[in-house]
Amino acid sequence: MARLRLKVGFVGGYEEIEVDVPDDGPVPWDADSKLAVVSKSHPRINAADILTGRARFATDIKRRGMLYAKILRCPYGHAKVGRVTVPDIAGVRHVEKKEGKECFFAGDDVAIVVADTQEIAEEAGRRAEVDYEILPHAVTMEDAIEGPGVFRGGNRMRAQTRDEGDVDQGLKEAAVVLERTYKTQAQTHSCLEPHSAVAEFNSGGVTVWTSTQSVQGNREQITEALDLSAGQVRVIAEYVGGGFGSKFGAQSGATVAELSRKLDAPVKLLPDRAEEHAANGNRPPSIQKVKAGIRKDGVVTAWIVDSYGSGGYAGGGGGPANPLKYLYPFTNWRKTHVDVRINGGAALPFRAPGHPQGVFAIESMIDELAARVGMDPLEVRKKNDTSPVRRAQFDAGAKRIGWSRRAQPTGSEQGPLKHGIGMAGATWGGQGGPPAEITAVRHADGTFEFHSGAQDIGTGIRTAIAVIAAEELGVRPADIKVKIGDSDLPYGPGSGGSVTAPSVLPAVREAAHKLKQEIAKQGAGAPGGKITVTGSRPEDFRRYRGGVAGCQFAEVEVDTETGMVRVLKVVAVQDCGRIVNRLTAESQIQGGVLQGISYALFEERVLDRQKGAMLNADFLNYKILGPRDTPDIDVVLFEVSNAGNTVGLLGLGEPPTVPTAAAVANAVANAIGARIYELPITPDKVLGALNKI
Amino acid sequence: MAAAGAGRVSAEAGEAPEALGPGPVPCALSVNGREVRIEIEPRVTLLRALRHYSDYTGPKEICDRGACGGCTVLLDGKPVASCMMLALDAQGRPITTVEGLARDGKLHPVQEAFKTCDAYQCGYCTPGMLLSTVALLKENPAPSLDEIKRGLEGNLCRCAAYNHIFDAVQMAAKKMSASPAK
Repeated sequence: MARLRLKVGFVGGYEEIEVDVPDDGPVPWDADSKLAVVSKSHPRINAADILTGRARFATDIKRRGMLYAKILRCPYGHAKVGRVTVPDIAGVRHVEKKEGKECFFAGDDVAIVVADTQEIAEEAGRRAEVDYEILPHAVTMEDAIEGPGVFRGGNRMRAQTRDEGDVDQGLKEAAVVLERTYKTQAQTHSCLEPHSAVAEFNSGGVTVWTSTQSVQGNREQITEALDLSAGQVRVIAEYVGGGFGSKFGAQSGATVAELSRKLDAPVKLLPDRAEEHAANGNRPPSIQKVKAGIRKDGVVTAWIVDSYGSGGYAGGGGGPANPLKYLYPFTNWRKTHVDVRINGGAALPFRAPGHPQGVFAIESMIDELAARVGMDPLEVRKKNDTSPVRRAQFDAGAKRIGWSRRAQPTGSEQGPLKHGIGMAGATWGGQGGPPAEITAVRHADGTFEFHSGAQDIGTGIRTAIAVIAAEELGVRPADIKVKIGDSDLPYGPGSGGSVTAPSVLPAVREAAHKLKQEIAKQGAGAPGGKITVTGSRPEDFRRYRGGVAGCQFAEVEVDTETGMVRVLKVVAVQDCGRIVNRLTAESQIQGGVLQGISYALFEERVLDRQKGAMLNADFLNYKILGPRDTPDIDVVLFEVSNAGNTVGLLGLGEPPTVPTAAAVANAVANAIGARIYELPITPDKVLGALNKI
Repeated sequence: MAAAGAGRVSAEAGEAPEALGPGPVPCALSVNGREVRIEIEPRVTLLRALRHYSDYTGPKEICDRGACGGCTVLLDGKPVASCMMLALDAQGRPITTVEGLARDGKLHPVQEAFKTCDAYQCGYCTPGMLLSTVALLKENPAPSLDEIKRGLEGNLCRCAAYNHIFDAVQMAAKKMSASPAK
């Protein structure tokens, strides 16, 4: 091992740390490293494929003799399936029925039809007759909490409590104590590419093309589901049309693989938009009751949160993470969480699970507490937030948005159009870790190729691999060919938790370093034969600090006559560790912020309390943010030299969506002088808060 | 309006519409300057005809209700939601899909600008965005930011690459006005 001193931190806050790294590995980059390729803007190396329609998504895969599967779904919130009759239409090849099944949400599968064409499969599904015994349901958390039991074992699951310090003492020390209830809605992932799959079985095993965030995870799940042996399943996802956390499960892949085995033909599954909304994942809704106390000097003395969340019928995973502990290390706090089962589709991880909902409650409350003690909400945050990175970011963001322009007192602007500015802080993990394996090849013609079993769900990891490899090898990213999205390639992580880049890229650097050494050994002068090396991600060493700090400032315009909220601008100050590719880093932050605005203002799964079905399972009534809702976003890439790994990386997928809804809510409150405690902030709620309806 | 090809359902006054289907009928489409002959049931949409019954998988089926723009193609040079019309009604009319934008291996200026600005993330909405942009710039070669937003309002991008898309549209507009297509 070699002991090195690395310069870490950020502009205005550098320090040196000592780290121990292996002798033969690459020297870790730090704040003083002069890099030729890394941190610059690079168009994606696969741009031409994306732009010409050559990119092959799972939905684009066609195989000879392919059949189409269609899932029939229950239209009731809770029902027992009786007789299923599928009409005898020419072209229907296979039907599987789940007669006798108890369906726990509208969208639960009751049968599957396989036909020669998608049109025939759809028609058979449409014309199928299913007898249902309709059972009692609860589709809202309030109904489930207060109403009769719908699920065996009860609607409410066991409470989980964690605490630190003495909240009763903390409340006694407070000058002001507030109690508020915050609610957040169920948000569907709305990936533009559905959870589709194609499987083709042959004697050796099965190949599955599927829209997944984890080709290797899917391989394991399908191998197990079909009781196959290792090496018999290959999963390919060359392109993935969005995932956002909803595409880890292999349900679609396993379904078509099983059908393909039975029918001895390739089978394709293309869920439609209604199925995507109702059955293929959501961010769980929450109810958060917060009681908090603050001293006159702005120090929060106690924080108590009782929260409920619902992962749908399956229960579990429903909670707002309420990232109290690491956003604000309050001395006295207690959180109690109860998962509630409702008759809705199962929640799945969604870009920073639990965090946008938790931060909405925390940062809304902080603003209100600050107002009660007559302090600037930014100053209150600085009093309670110990992260040096975020404290520096607060100042940077305040300057960029013009914090002093905010309405003072709140709601004081004259006229029907009122403007406001609000902000919120955020935190996330996303630092990655082993394992990750890379194969690096120098071909006889001098070209390079890097292989990873990771996949690109839109982040640009392909190009990031090329950037790191190019830096180490002294070539251009365009000179590096990258193969990913195939389970047969060396181990790569699932694309979740923002770990893909910080897990994979140190392995890339390791492999490129080895390849360089190998080339040097063989003599640089005459490029000989093909050289292949493998690189593994080394263990982490000491890092500057944990966590990924960020904060956002939002400026809004509220029409107090119509209740419409328009976001005019967002300043997003984001810790991005070492930037690999400036262009795609900006894209990640843009996307995270805009999805956050969409969550704050527009999106909501609406389940019918009478029948239990989703009422807005399309893109006409389930609104996602579009071009005209898009404000200017001032992305501030706040570079922090982290150490921790040889590249010094963080993942950026999730952090930028964490604070957005809270910042928008605080901006609306600043504009109109009244607070909205429930997302999304739709016109009816704005008018309600203004006592106009 | 004259019946534009075999199998087209004519709606002219006084003329009984041809009864077609429900079984497959011949359909001739003109895609990116090439004639594509397929056999499809009359109920097949233009989008499915392109994706399922021929090899143009560029246009994507996302909402299947004309609400997202992912299936946008140019028909007679105008952007249409190909999920909202029957393939038979598109016979004899020039169709441009994303596969037809690049010429002789050279990207269209709009594609070039999307590349430079990273005007996509997952890439699934990209084919529709590109064609809506091409159509917008044809109508308005120098759109303001607000006109770009209005021009693309029918196209959704869940990754929300919008601001980079707006940058790309402006970049392409400048390039195309500097060297107009011959």
